[in-house]
This record gives sequence, C-alpha cells and structure tokens, in this order.
Amino acid sequence: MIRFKNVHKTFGAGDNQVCAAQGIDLEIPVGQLCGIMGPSGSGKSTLLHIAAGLVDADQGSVSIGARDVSRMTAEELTLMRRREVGVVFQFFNLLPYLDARENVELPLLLDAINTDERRNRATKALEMVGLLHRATHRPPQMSGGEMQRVAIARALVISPRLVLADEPTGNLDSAAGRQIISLLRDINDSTGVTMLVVTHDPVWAANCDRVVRLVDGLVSEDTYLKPRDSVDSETNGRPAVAETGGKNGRKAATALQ
Amino acid sequence: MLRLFSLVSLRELRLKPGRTALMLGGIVVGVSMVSAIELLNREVVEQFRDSMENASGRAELQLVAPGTDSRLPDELAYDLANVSGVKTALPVIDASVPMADSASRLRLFATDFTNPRAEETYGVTIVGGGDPLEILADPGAALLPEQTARRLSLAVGDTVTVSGAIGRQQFRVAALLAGDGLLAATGEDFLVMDIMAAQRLLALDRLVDRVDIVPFEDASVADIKALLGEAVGHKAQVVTPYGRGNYFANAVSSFQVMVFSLSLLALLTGMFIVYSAVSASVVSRQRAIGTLRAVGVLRREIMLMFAAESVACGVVASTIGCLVGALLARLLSSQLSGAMGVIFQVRAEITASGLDAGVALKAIGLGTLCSLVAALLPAWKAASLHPLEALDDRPSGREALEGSQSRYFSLAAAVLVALVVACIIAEVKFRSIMLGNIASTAWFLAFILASVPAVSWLALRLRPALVHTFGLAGRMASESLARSSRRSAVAVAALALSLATTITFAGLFLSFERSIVGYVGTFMDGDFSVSSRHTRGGWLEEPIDSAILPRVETVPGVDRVETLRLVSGYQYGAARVGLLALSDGFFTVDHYGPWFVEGTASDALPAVRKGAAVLVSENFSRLHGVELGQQLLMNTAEGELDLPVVGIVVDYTSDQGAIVLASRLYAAQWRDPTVNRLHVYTSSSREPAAMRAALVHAVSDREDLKVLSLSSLLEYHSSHVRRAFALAGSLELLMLIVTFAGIVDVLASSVNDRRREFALLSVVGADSRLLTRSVMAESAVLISAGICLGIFGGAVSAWMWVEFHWTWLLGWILELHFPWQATARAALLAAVVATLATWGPARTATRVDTMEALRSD
Repeated sequence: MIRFKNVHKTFGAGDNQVCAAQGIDLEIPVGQLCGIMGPSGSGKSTLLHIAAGLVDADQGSVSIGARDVSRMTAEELTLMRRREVGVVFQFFNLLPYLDARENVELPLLLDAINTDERRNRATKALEMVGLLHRATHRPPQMSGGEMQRVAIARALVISPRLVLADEPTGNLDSAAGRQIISLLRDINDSTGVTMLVVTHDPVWAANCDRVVRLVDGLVSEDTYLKPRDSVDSETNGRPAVAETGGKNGRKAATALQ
Repeated sequence: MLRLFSLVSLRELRLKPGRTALMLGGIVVGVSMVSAIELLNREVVEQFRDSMENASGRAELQLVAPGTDSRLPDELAYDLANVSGVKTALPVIDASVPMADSASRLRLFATDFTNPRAEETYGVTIVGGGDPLEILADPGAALLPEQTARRLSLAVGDTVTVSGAIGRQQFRVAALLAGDGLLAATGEDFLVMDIMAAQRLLALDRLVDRVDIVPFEDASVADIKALLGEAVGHKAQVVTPYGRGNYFANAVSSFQVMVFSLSLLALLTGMFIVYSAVSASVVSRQRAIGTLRAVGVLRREIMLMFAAESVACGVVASTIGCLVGALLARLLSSQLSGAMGVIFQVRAEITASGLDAGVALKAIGLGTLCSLVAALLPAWKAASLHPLEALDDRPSGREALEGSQSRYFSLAAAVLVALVVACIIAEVKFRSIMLGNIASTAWFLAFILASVPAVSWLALRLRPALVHTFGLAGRMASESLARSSRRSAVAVAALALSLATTITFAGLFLSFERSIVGYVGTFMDGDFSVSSRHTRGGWLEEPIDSAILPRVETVPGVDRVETLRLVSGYQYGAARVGLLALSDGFFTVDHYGPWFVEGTASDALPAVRKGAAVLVSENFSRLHGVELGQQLLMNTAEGELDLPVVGIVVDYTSDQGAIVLASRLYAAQWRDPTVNRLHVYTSSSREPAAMRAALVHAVSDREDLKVLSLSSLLEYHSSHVRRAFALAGSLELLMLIVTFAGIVDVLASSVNDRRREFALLSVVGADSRLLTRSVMAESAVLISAGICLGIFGGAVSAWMWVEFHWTWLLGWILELHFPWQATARAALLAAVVATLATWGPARTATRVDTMEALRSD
C-alpha cells in the first residue's frame, strides 16, 4: 500500500510561489491501478515525484508498504527506485545507444545480477510488453509506442512493488496511447503490481480501478471504477464511496459504483 | 561499476568520437611533451656521462684545465707519470672537427700512442691485427671505427679530409678499429690519431685537453687524487670521468628544469582541455544521467563512472602520448642541443634513443592522474545533478553565474594573485626556482579563474552593443553567454592560456635577443670580427692562437684590433662562470662606461687595464653574493689571484655570471695565449667590401677562420638566439592546436545545448543567417575576451619570467622588451584560428533538424 499523509509541497517563493500539494491524504492499496488526473499545475506529477523520491515533501509523509519514504536518505531513495519502484516517464528516457534489451537490463546491471538471470528477466519483461522481436533495436529505430513499451519493461524488470507512470501516453498518438493503456491494465491484472498513473487522458478513466482528481494541490474527487474488494481485501468493510471532503474545503468525491 | 562503464561510458565515447578525440588529444599533447622532455633530459645526462666515461677508457682520474675550453700543457702527463700509484698518465685531445665539404663532424681523439699502455687503456683493437704505434707513426695516418667507415663509405687506404686550424688536411685511413674496442663501442664517429698530429691539425702548441690517469690495480684512487692535487696545484683540476660528465649534466640542470616546467605547462593545458571536454560531455549527457539516476544509479556510481571513463581515457591517451613523445623527442633533440649549446656553450649532441620503460610508466601515471583530476569537478557536477533537473530539456540556466558565485571566482583569482606576489618575493629572497614555478603556475590559474567573472561581466556590458550591432542575433548571443558563463569561460581561458604562453615565450625570446644583440652591437663593436669558423656547440667560437693578431693589425686601413677571450666554464667555487678577458681598447670610459651598474667607470677601468682589479657581471654579483669593493679570489695556472671588484657591469656572456679582466693579466696568469675573437676597427677611408677582402686575404692560409662585418656578427648572434628558442616555436604550435580543439569543443557544446532554442526559432521563422550570426556574435565576444585576457596575462607572465624566474632559473639578467609584433601576430592568428573553429559549430546550428530537436529523445 502507498499512503500519502497530509502532504504539502510548494515551489518558488514570493509572488512566484506555486502550491503543488496542500495537504494531500491518499491511500492506494496493493494491486490497485490508480489514475491521478487534473488540470495542468494541479500537482499530479509532483505527487508522483514525491512517491518516487525524486522530490521531497515540505510537510507530511509518504509511505510505501511499511517504509516511510519521507524519512529515507537520498541514497536509500535511489536504491528504492533501483529495486522496488519502477518509474515510467512521458518522454521515455531510454539511453539511445543501448538496444531495447540493454535498456531493460540497466537496473539489474547496477545490482550485479548475473548475466543469465539478467537476460532471462529482460526477455520476460520484453515478452510481457510484446517487444521481444525488437530486443536488438535501439530507440532511434523504434516508434514512440515501442519506446514507451521498452520503458515499461525496464520498470517491470525489477519485479517492483509499485509502478509510477508520469503521463505515459502524453507523448504518443491515440492508437499507441490506447495500446499502452491496455498494456498497463493487462500487466496490473496479471501481476497485481500497484500502479499510480498520472494522466490527462480521459480514456484512462475507464481502465483504472480508481481515479483521483486533483485541483490546486487538493484531492477534489476520488472515484472507484472497480469493486474495491476485487482489488484489495485490505479495504473490505470500508465504504465504497470515499468521503474525502472536510479539511481545507475539499469536495466530496462522487461514487460511481 | 565496470558494467556501467562498459555499457554506458564506452558507448558514449564511441558515439561522440570528436569529443573523445579531444579528451584523448588534450592528454596526448601534454604527456607527449612531458615524456619527450623527460627522455631528452635523461639523454642529456646519460650522454654527458657516457661521452666522458667511454672516451676515458680505463682511466679513473683526469686532469682538466680550470675552464672547460682551456687546455693543459702536455708535459703534465710526463711529470705525473712518476706520482706514486699512477700506472700511466696519457695526454689526450678530445675535440670535434668538421669534415671538409660536409656537414658531418668527427670526434677527434688523440693520445700519445708511443706510450705502450695507450692501446690497452682505450681498448684500441685494430681489425685484422696491427700495432697502433706503428700505424700512427705516420702523422698523415688515422684510424676510424668500423661502423663510421661503413657509414662514410670509406675503406682502408682512402682519405678523410677535415678542417683544422691550419686549413684542410687529409688523413689516410690506415686501419679500422674493431667494434668491440672501448672507443668504437661508444658508437660515436671517432677519428683517432697520434697526439702530435692532432696538435698540428688544431694548431695547439704542446697543449692538450686533458690528461687521463690510470692507477695501479692495488692503489687507492682517493690517495692518488690527493697526491695529484698536490702535484698540480692550481694549474689543473683532478676529476673523475663520471664526475666530469656529472659536472656538465649539473651545469645544464636548471635548463632542464625550465624545459620540464614548460612541458608541464603543456600538460596543464591538456588537463584544461580534458576538463572542458568532460564538462561538455556532462552537459550533453545530462538527460542520460537523469535517466540513470531515475532508474536507481547512485550519485557515487555516476561519479565513479565518469572517473573510470577519465582513467580509461587517461591510460589510452598517455600510452599514445608516450609513443608520440618518443617521436617528438627525436624531432626536438636537435633543437634542445642547439638551445643548450647557445645558453651553456657546451656541445650536447642529444639523440633520443627511444622510449624508456621508467619514463613511460611515469608519464602514463602522470597523464592518467591529470585526466582523473581534470574530470573530477565535472564528474561531481554530473553526480550532483538532480534526476528531474537532468531529465528536463528546457534551458535551465544552471551554468549562469549568480553574483555571489562570480564574487567567489574573483576572490579565488585575487587569492592566487596574492600567492604569485608572495612567491616572487620569496623567490628573490631564497633564490628558489621552485617558488618561481609555483608563481608562474598560480598566475596562469588566476587568470583562468578570472575568465569566469570576466565573461559574465562582458555578457552584461556588451549586451546593448551586441543588440545594436547584430539585432536579435546579438541578443541571443548575449543571453547564451550569460546563461553559460562558466562554459564560455572555458573557451576564453583556453584561448587566453594559449596566447599568454605564446607571449611569454616571445617576450623571453625578444628580451634575450635584444639584450644580447644590443650588448654585442654596442659593446663588442668594431667594423669586422675575425674568429674561428667552429664553435663548441654554442655561439662562442673556438679559441685561436693570438699569433694571428699582428697579421690583422698590419692590414692597410686597420686602425686597431681588440681581442676577446671568453673561458665559458671557469670554475669559481662550485659554479661554472665566464672568464672574460678583454684587451685595453675595450676598457675606455666611453666604451664601457654605459655598462656600469655599480662603481665609477673612470676610476675602475684604469685599474682593470693595469690588471690590478676586476669587474664582475650583475648576475655574478647577484648569484654569488659578490659586492663592489670585495676581494675576489681566483685559481689560476700561476696560483691564487686575489683582486678587488671595482665595478659591477651588464654582461651576457655567461648564465652564471662573468668575471671581466684584462687580456694581459689573463694570458699571464692562466698561461693561455689564445683568443676567441678579434674585433677590427678600420679607418673610414676604405670601402667595407674592399676592407673585408683585404682581411680575408690576410688570413687566407687559415681555413678555419672567418671574417664577419658587424652586421653579419649581429645576425650571427641573432641566429643563435633563434636556435635557442626554436623549441619554443614547437611548443607554440602545439598550444595553437590545443586552442583550436578547445574552442571547437566549447562552441559545439554550446550549439548542442541550444538545439531546442534554434529549433524553436526556426519554427517561428528565423533563417539560418540569424542563427549563424548569433553563434558568430557569441564567439566574437569569447575571442575578444580571450585575446584581451591572454595579452594581459602574457604580458605579466613575460615580465615575471624576464625579471625574476629567468635570473634564478638560468642566471641571466635581461632587459624586458615586450614583444608587440609577436603579440599582434599571435593575437591575429588566435583570432583566425578561433574564428575558423567557430565556423563548424555555426554551420551545425543552421543544420539543426527542427523536429528532431523539438523531440525529446
């Protein structure tokens, strides 16, 4: 489970101050595919970056499982990304001179995992994203959708507890975007890995277990699209409609179920 | 870590061959210079020692005259043979003679072959057997080593013609020396003959270069040395062949320190290029760094990756540098020989023998360390990049300087300048060459640091002018400069460093040339000079017998003739100083007065003329702590001579200072009737050409003599000074190559960094001319700043070298002459080189693929 507790984050100072998070409370149970939506500047990416340990929260805490991310050192956060959390970016961020397999193997290489195991795991990850036949191709030889699939394979190769995706379809055409959405959905279904996906794309809404909408650094809606008990037994007994209003004038979420 | 290195670094290096080549090139240039100079320096020491030892055969002691080109009476050899413990004493002539009609020289070796032990002492083995005594009984006979005969295509019975004091002389090759004999084994081109034949050839009346002493096997060399010392008194010095080689090697050690310092400067520049290349690499790879950080690579792993990369490049480049260095050593050997000859008046035929394992290991270690040190700061910067910042393609202004950072750089530069001042004060006080080198290095570092705030300041101040001149392109250029002031400063510093080095060399060269030529032209004047055609490696001609003097004096039209005798290696205490003996005509107030630094010429000169006092040069006074009025104790062939110093004068005859005295005193006390040069003053009634022809005719039987007009004499000295500084020309060329490479790299990374900006401008309709103008305007500012900084830095550096370092390093006190012409030439050349270097990146700017640049991957 990933839990954000009263998370605050402000960028800039004086007149240029931007509040990206103004006390976000959110729990994402294990295995859930949660979409974070909202207008530009609402704090979606910041929330994801805080979860990945790429940005520090000014106040509040974030925990992944039993570990408090906000108390971890920079080195521990880096190792967490290497071993537990897969990150997928809008702009793929593949190394252009490595082929698909090598890009996928990169996090394993850092932990000195032996070549055979590395190869097997990279092969499985590429198979999972349907790109095994492009294993020896380099990023410049691939389409945007293919590059994003390689990036997803790289995130999955470490068998992560959590996958964080920052607008993974934002740089793709609609057809490629749909394929990526479908792919992540399938991976979530088959592996049960928790996923937090920041997106602008309304198509995601129909594919997520839950959609959290942020506005001005606050959770404005929290919508479950899939029965919670089918996702995580931890939430059993809790109301299907999350009531998130109250403090800081937050609006009540609408339950679709 | 090696996996990350092999997977990421090696591919990056392969992907960017230009930058990789630059990183390698920077270290290759530096290491090649260091290893070449190291090889040559070693070779100088080895060859001095080998040359002295090998040609000494089995002799364990030698008697030499107090001055390096002074000679001993041959009778000493016969007197000393009776000293207890001495097995044999052999007179030796060891000189260099030119082959007639050829540029080659032979090393003339002659001894008394009537002495039955000569053959055994020098390992003279005749090919096919034979007795050297019988063979060389014929004064027209000579021996050649087998390999020399092969090289010159000579066989037994052929003749070899050499030029000596009595003109050309032919010698019959009577036999060949076997290659395994001591003399032949040295590999030198010896011409071996009997001592009397050699004395005749060189017009040496019963004089020899040295006496070789072979002790009995059971005798104590130390005891014999003491006994010999007592026996010869002040007439000669008793030395070991090894010590004599060492003596020459020590004499040139300061010069070796200087050339090594200069080679380290090349390495410093190389380091700077590596720093620049790695910095540029960090900028171009920041997205990859961000990706690595995002997928879990630790800061220290990034740092280690860059460190491993620089170590790998360092090892490869240093290895290449060593090989290039060995080649360079061969190319520079003649220049180094020439330089040492001119400055120290010693013949050092330096031939680089090839790469030495010790030198190679040292150079590879040094090069690798430099590469690592140069890469540490950029590597640290790379490791410090925040993953999100690194993944952001937008220009971030990370390179922009804030006011406080600019102040830090200025403060650091100011601290270094203070260090320079402190080092110079300490250098003068403690006469420390090392402190001078620190001062010089600190000065270069100071203006490298100063280039950072300078670029920032210029970008701000020049903005209105750039906008006015170039419009939008000017504004873009000024924005780019402000945004990347640290990177731009690297280009400015590279240019400034190169220019400053060039100006330093040129300043030294000009000050040396003008000081010496001015001195020769106004002090050692006259209308013509008569001297030997041959030198012992430097500018000073071989001594000639003063018997030639009456023949020149009696030539019609000759008013008077003055003589000059310079003993270049006179032993004063532990130092090797010049002993300058001048005839009376030089010691007039009109003539010598202007050269007095301390003392009154009108009082001093009569005393010197009478032989009752001496003058010392300014550098002699400074280096040996001898003051006006002090008594100077000198060893002469006639015993100790104690005379007062009545004047301190400007003199450029010796790096370690000179003692100036009257010719008559010198001839009597040192028993040396020779002179190096006659200065001939003529009446104005005769045409110079006719006068010269008459002088040539008067000495026509002496093929070894030359007659020069004053202008030719000045040109002769100028050409020797140019020879001494030929090495500097090679260094300048290397510096220019490095500058070119550095500027291309910095501008190329600037263009690379601005691809997105150019693409955006292209989208809104900016044409290629605008982009080109922007890059050119930016480089114009960089070039101007680099040139201004370089001229200032070079001028101060030249002043420091001429006024301080040169004196303590080499002993000369020179007048500073700023090299305006050379500066203008170098600045123009640097501007052209830098503009050409800009052309490539400017073209790249116009060729940026808009869509490609706007995409993130």
